[in-house]
Amino acid sequence: MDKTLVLRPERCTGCHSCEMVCSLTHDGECNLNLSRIGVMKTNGGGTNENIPVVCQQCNDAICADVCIMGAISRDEATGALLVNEDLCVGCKTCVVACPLGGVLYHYVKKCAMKCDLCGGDPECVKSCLYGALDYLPLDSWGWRQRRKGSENLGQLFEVVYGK
Amino acid sequence: MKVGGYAGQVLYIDLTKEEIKKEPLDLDMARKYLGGFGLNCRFAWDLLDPEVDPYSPDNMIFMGMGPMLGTAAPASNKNSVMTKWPSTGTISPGTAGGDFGINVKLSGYDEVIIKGRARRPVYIKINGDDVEILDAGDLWGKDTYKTTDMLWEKEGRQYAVVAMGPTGERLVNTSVCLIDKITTWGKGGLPAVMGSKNLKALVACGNKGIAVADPVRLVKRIRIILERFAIHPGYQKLVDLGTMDGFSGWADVHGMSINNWTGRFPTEEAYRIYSPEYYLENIKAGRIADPTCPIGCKDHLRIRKGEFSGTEAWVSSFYGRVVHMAARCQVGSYENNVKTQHFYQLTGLCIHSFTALIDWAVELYEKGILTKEDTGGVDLKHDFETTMYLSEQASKKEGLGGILSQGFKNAIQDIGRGCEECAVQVKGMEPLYDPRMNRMSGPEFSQVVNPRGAHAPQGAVTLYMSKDASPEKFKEWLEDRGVSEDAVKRIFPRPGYFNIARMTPYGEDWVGFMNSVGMGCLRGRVDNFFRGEDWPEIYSAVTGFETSLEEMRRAARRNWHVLKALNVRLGFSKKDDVFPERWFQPLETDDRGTLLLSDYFGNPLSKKDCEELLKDYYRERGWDARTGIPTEKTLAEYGLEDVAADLKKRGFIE
Amino acid sequence: MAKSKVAVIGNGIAGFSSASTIKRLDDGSDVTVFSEESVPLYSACVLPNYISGSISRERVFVRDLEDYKRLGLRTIFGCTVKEIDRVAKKVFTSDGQIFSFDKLVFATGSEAVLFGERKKGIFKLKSLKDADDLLAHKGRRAVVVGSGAIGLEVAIALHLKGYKVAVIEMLESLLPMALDKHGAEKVREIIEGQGIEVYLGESATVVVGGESVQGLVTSRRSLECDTLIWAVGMRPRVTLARELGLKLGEKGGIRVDSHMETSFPGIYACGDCVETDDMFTGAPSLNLFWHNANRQGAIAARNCIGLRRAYPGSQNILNVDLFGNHVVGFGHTETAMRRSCHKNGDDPTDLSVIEKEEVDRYFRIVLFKDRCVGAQFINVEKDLGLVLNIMSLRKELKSIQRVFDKRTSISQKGWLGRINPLFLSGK
Repeated sequence: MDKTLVLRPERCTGCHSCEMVCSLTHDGECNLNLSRIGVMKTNGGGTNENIPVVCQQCNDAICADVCIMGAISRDEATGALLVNEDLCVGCKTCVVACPLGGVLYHYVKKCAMKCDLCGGDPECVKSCLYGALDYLPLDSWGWRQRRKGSENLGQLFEVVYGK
Repeated sequence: MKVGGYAGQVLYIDLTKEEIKKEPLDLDMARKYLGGFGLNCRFAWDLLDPEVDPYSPDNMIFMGMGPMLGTAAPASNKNSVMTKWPSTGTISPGTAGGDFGINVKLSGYDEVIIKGRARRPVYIKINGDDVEILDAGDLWGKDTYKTTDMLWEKEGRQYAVVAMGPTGERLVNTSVCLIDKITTWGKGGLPAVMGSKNLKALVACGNKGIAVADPVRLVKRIRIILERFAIHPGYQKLVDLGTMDGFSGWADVHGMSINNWTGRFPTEEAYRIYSPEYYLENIKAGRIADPTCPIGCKDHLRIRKGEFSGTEAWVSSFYGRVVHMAARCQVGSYENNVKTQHFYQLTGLCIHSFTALIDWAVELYEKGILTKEDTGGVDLKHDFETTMYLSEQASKKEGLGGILSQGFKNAIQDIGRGCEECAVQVKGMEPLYDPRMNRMSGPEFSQVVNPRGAHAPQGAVTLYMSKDASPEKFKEWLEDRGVSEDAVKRIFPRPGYFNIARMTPYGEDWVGFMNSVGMGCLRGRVDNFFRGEDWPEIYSAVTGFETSLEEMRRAARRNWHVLKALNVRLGFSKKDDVFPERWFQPLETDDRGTLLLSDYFGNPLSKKDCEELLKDYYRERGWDARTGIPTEKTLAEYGLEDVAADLKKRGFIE
Repeated sequence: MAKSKVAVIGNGIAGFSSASTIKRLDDGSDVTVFSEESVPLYSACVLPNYISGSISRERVFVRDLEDYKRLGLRTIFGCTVKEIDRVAKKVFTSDGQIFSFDKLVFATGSEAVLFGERKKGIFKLKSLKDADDLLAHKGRRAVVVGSGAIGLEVAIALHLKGYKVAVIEMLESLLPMALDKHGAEKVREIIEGQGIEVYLGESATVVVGGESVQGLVTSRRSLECDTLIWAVGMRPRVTLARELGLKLGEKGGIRVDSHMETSFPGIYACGDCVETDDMFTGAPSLNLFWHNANRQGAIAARNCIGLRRAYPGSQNILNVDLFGNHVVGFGHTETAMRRSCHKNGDDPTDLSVIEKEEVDRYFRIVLFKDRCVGAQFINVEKDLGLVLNIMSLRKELKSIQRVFDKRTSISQKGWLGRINPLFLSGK
């Protein structure tokens, strides 16, 4: 992949725009349960209030490993891990195994669903004017931002759940 | 044809019988009244007994969510509630953003109608097709934050929570509900109405989608709108400051009344104590946005200095609250200010209403109308201690605070002794904008005519607080928002002038319109980025009904007629559309000289002038200029023959 | 990287994973995949879906023969590997072919444990042929011996096909490798509620019948049947490995080091035939699952071509749908942990359990020394990956104990702690 989706949870305001536009462009309706990206809200006294949660297109993806139909594979162009809906039997092992909650179950199509980076032009990024989501080239800056986003999230949860 | 936007069901909840009923939404009716606020008006007209006591089980709560709410359209998030308000006795709307409305729509409902009284404390849970009335025994007595936390713990954080605090349980009229701890809803006593029904809270989590007729067309328009925000050079600053970007408006450009409308908060003091810089450094902890809003302005606050360090709150309209506490209550420091805001959030006391009552009470005390016997031995002053003292009493509905907490109408009756002379209120509600400082612009004028009472700002919407906006700018905005040429001619009869009374209806309609379709924001910082064409484009793309801006404006005006008619039926008329006495008195300020009531252009306004303006307003509305009541002809023009017939039968129309 | 010549013995997911990974990372390498079956890679995991009729036979296949060509893999299908000469570095097939290799990857998989004679009507469910045979057999009354995932899935598949089905389980509860008693009871209610008979604490003793099976005698009763399924477990296929002299582990699988290399340098092994360290406890284990085989294949491949990569350990992940009820198990049950504590002389008070039961959901977390070593879920739809992550990271629960105690779903979507570096490795 030469571009990566970067998360900056400190800028997320919990507005749900990313979720609505994701389900809108993939499934033609606005549905928080059919969105491949989610906003997790805390209001719990953490340093951050709202956390965007989406597939990180991991290098060593556990979802691709556990798929008993080999239905998850890497798209050469975007680097996204894509679910082949013709192969998927809806067993939900990938949903169960993903540590991030990045793979979800499409309750209408009855198969796995996850971020596909919209083929290289992510809609959620375009809808987030707050800068909580970005799509950056994978140069050293991009990698640092990607790392920072993940670590940021990790520390955030230590604070929220660790108290 | 796929119909989008409208979820398709009306949810009826009878708390007495603990019965839940779902009816399909009449799409023709929905299109006629648009939805949200408009549907609330229609349902209230059809179902709510005008004689009903606000605390009676027969009072009803109508919650309407417009067709564009929850559809990814930018700023599509306003939920509208309507009931008979205990503090004023009007039947009128309350508006809030937040996650509740979208989850109700995502559960399949456009409208929720609640009546009756539960036998024990309950909360309503809406999760798609599953709607339940559940026991709230362990929640009763808890403040709004605790109630919300407990419900999140029980049901999951993904549920949106509408909670009322102990103020509702004690039937305190100047109270508001909180949605997800942040967003206030129902100024005028929604908690009291809920409390009278033993309804502690509502929670909702959707599990369906909102259909969109033409997703490609919708996304196209969304991108166009968002682009306008994105290219604005000041965008990031607007996000950083939130509502505090309006600071210089009240601190400097206009000002805020103090000492019960007899003074002006000194600009120097405002900058010294309440600056945006201080807010950013010591108060603001995070930024929260309403669903789909591109310039979220809600705050996560944490006091970082002084004795209240560590106090944490989530608030909307932060700047408004700062002003209330700073000017009406003069609490003296940012920390005191946020501390009191925190108290109001927890208890659900209405900061807008109650601070005005405190301001009034202090004057009454200074004049000797209220004595130490009334105050419980305490000297009432404009300070933090008095504010907390009276607010605490109010939250418990005890003592003088308790009397004040029932709103102007009741407090005037209870106190007597000629106290109404210095009560600045319209229809029992306190105004916010002082036309002597701001000059008679839309919000100032609409405080007089709004059927809800002196609710602000319902006037020319986005141009409020824009002292320097030229008449041309107003004209531009009105034309962009589909106001007809004829109307524009009447509003702008000559260059360099406009008739505010004739302009106000179009602003009022517009706010009603936004709250009906569920998209838009009355805050200038958001509304300035929209164009009139955005609304019909999105409505058509979402619902599949090709509709023009003119048709939508017409529907909006219709809704306002119904809103007015609802209150005419209660006996409200021209006699209630009053300009507060104090507005006609000169305002002596420390730093701006003496300010007189004047129009937008600085020309002084006498009582007679105001009388004429009022008549102009009625004429522009198509209402009887003598009575302020919609005429049969006007109502018929808007397809409201049945409304006209009823008013006639009751003798309000000849 | 030298251009390797690699022989991959086996065309299950482990074999295919290692072969295709080698080719992907080292395009010039020469890779041959040997398989005794004649078909391309298919998923044995979905055979119950095929049997029940919910998917067609075509959908069982994960790849087609064209894919092998496209990937540049040489395929020797339909014959067995008779012998391997590790000194001469040659593979000999049953039909007389000889192949030389630089490196070898064992991916011979596992076989079903069977008892007694083969009669008509007696089946195991390991391969596509087994499924085809079972479908061709038109029975009416089936007894399934074993209540692991395969046993229960086959029982349900046959039930959906109209069979009268009984499940026999030797231990005291269903899905014993995945669930403790409490969760297993719920599973039993689900299974029995649909009309499948369940007999616990009974073992199969005698198969009744002549040419065709007519019944099964258990330790407690006699059951009539015309169909008998052995689903009592899998064991590694190590005959070839043993003959070659590869070291085997205490559980009977091929012993490999942390880089999937066997006791002979240059010979790797992956999949159901190997014994690996359990990720959660560190103990040698046979965690015979698709995902372990998949990952091991990919890692064996890397090490095979000279890219050093350690294998972090295998995981027991069970995920089944039982009549619309989603049952998931990670790691070890409390019962299993008690047994191993006893065996290792560990202090059993270091074991604790967090359990939450609701009307429609249930979960249980098993902790050893404040680390999560097992988890069981019934109809919990959120945060399972979070738990799996915590288990994999061997994170202490002290700091997040209250999360599990109080909340039915741990968070809205599962993120917790540091992202597993395994899954987000950088350049």
